[in-house]
Amino acid sequence: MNVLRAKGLTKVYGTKNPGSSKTALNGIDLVVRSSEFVGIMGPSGSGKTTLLNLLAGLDQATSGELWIQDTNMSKCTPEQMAVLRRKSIGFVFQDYNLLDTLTLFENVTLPLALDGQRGKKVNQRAEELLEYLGLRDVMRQYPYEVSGGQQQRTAVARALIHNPALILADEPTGNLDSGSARSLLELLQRLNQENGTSILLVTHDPFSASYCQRIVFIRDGSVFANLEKADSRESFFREILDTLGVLEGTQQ
Amino acid sequence: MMWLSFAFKNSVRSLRRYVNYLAACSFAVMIFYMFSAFVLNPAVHHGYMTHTAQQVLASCQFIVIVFAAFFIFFFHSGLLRLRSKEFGLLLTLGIIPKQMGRWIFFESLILGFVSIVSGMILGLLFSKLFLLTMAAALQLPHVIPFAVPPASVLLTAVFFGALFLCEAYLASRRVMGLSPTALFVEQRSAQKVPRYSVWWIVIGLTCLGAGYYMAVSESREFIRDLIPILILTSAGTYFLYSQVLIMILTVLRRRALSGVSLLVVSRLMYRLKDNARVLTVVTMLTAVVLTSMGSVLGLQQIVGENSLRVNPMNVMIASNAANSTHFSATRLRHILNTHGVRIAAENTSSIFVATLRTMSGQWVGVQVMSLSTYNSLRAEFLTDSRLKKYIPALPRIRTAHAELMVPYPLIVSKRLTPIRAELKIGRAVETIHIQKQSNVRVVDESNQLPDFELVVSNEDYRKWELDIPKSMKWTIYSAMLSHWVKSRSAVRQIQDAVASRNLAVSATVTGFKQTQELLSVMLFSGFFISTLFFLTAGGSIYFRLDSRLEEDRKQFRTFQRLGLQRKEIGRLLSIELLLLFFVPVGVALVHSTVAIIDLGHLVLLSAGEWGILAIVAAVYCILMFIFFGVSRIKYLQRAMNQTMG
Ligand SMILES: Nc1ncnc2c1ncn2[C@@H]1O[C@H](COP(=O)(O)OP(=O)(O)OP(=O)(O)O)[C@@H](O)[C@H]1O
Ligand SMILES: [Mg+2]
Repeated sequence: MNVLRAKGLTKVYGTKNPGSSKTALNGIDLVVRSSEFVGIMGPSGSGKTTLLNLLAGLDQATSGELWIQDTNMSKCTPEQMAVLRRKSIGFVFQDYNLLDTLTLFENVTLPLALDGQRGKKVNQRAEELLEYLGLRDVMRQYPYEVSGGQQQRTAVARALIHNPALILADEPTGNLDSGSARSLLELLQRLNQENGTSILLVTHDPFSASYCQRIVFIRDGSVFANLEKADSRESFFREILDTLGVLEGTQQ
Repeated sequence: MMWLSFAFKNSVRSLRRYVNYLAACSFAVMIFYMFSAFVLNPAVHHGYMTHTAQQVLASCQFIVIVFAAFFIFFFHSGLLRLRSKEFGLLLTLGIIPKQMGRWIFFESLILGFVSIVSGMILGLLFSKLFLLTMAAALQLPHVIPFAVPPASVLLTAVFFGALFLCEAYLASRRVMGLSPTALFVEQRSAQKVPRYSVWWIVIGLTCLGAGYYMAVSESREFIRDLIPILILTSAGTYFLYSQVLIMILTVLRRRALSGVSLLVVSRLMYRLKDNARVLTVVTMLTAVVLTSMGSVLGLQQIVGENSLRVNPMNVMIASNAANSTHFSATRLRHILNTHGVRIAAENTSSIFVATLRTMSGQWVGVQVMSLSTYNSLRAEFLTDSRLKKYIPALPRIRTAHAELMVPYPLIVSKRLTPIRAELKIGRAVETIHIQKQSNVRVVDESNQLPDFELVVSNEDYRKWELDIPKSMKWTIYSAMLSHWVKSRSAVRQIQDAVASRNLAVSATVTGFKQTQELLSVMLFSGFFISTLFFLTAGGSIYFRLDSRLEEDRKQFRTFQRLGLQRKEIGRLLSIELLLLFFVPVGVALVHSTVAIIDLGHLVLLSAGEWGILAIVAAVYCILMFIFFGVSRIKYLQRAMNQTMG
């Protein structure tokens, strides 16, 4: 089954004044099956963030079709999209985006709260999750009182709390040191394997990408190549480097 | 619902941002309540205050409401903009726009409710003080009893309730219109380099020039011209900030500047471009404060002299010859005596009323008096030295010649009649030669006598007087007092004694007290409204600074990494803030100067109010400096010490 299916996704910025319009995505086709861990790579400015925002329904595509599970997103009202987001999608950003006014614990339970859920079960789930992510000791603290790695793990917990079918992560390791980055990636991998959560990870770090099962390379808003993991992570890592070499080589 | 408790927690914890907003709203509510409670105070309602003064207060209430509406909308929308990232995040996490709209609607309503309640409590606490000061300002003989008029409470609650309800509705519409991309937009809005265009500069300077020209050039259509002048100067001021100053800074930047000045200049360009609208509003508010306080205080300085010019006779009683009842001067002297008021000089003069044909062919009434009458009146007036420069000595007047006196405010410099004027005396029409027209008043203003004075030769007067019907002849008793300012109660008694008879009574002190009372009320309400304007002016600048705090934090960190010391960053900030706070004051001062020249046409002020304007401006600057100092210290602390949040 497909968790996500996009066909011919196109995004043009600044359509209002044609002089300065900019095509960020140009007909992207993409499928994410359930329990798949997919990476998206590409040079800076290639449209990765734009793609992720469209997939999450945060921004309107100029043209193209998008299904999340069985819902056709192009036919959704903003309200239906919001409901879909809080039931089926979890989002992790490069710069964490936690609410400063809430404790880590409250930040994590926020998506459920928005959905009107409350009570013991919610608290229990949040505590389990925070325990699992090693944040139990700091969960009553505020975001600015804890480290970047802890904040990012909180953001992951927030993305997971409602058991989404799909996690979208935009450079989640971008602001982390290598140790924290590695443990975050291992965490994502474990989630993918143990819970069967589909993950779409945007990164331009080949090491991070090597945790994925499949990589989609994009360049100038179009899909450039697809790379499937055959055996070990190490050999996949080398293949990624090779493909990036080709990608950047042809670019110049 | 669970999310409501989150929303509540979130609102409460972001309260720090809202403290200033709440304080400002409460202040507006407080002032409105105090004005209303004063106007509707039963004791005030039934006396104490002239009708005009009450009107002034009522219009002040109106200004407070309009103004409160303006800043509530402005501040709140600014605060919401500061939170747009948070709203974007919530939308990303799946909050439904309607949910968010409802949350912000209730949050705004609660803020409004708190403001109304705290404002009214403050109003109640301070209204006793307000009444005391008001009584002192109006020099009332009694203490105004403290009262809580239910109508005021109701009025305040209803007005501000409606205001906050509208505001809450608009605020909720605003956030409902946001899309999740608001989360990223802020990062995206990396500012473009401020540019200027020569065209806009030309247009801006033209607007300013035209506005100033209209103000300075003499025109009698003061009210009609006011709106275009305001629009032109506001537009000009806006272009001054968004174009002219940008040009100057661009030119400065091209020259090799040393480290800190380069940073100041380049940062200032962004600040100006960004805040041109707010700076314009601040400038206009400041100009209004300086102008109104300056001119009211200035008027207060000269109100004594002005009253004398309008009513030079300290006490005047005019009786028509057709009227059989006469007022005895002995009686009047007696009344003055019992009040301890001494007569410095007195006169009994006779005049008659005729009509004069004006330039446009209409006939207007004039009082005709002989030169010798004028001269003896003048001698009487000169017992008050302040009148010396206003009552001219007249040359000899030959037969068929006359001196015409047309007092302000009807016409200042234009001629009322042709040089050879027709004078209708009873049925006869004489042609006379007008030697000169001057802006003088000799006989007190009275609605029973015409405003204009025609001084003719003694021979002509004696000749014409013979054919005049009795009803056109008047006998005028006038007295100059040694201390007319203290003659109020005596004048009251004289008026009471005369009331039943057919006599025109007038006194310098009556007009003086009325004007003084009016000015006191204006001054007093002006003070409160000025405070409101001042707080808004300073507050908006600080508030705009606040919205850039995040970026400055990053920038200052970069500066520090580049080796700039905290002290140097502090100096950079000082220069920048000093300019942001005081450039509008400077521009406003220029505006006010022009405005006072304009006002001078309306009320014919003489010099002297420039000193007052300087004092008002100095006080304003000192207060603004305190604002600046506090902002500077707080801003630097917040930008440098905290790493997050
Ligand atoms: N809101 C916007 N308005 C106009 N242009 C935009 C906007 N957002 C992105 N772009 C443009 O679209 C293109 C793709 O941007 P995008 O942020 O998706 O790149 P990216 O692949 O995420 O880059 P990076 O790796 O640096 O994050 C860029 O050229 C960018 O300038
Ligand atoms: Mg990106």
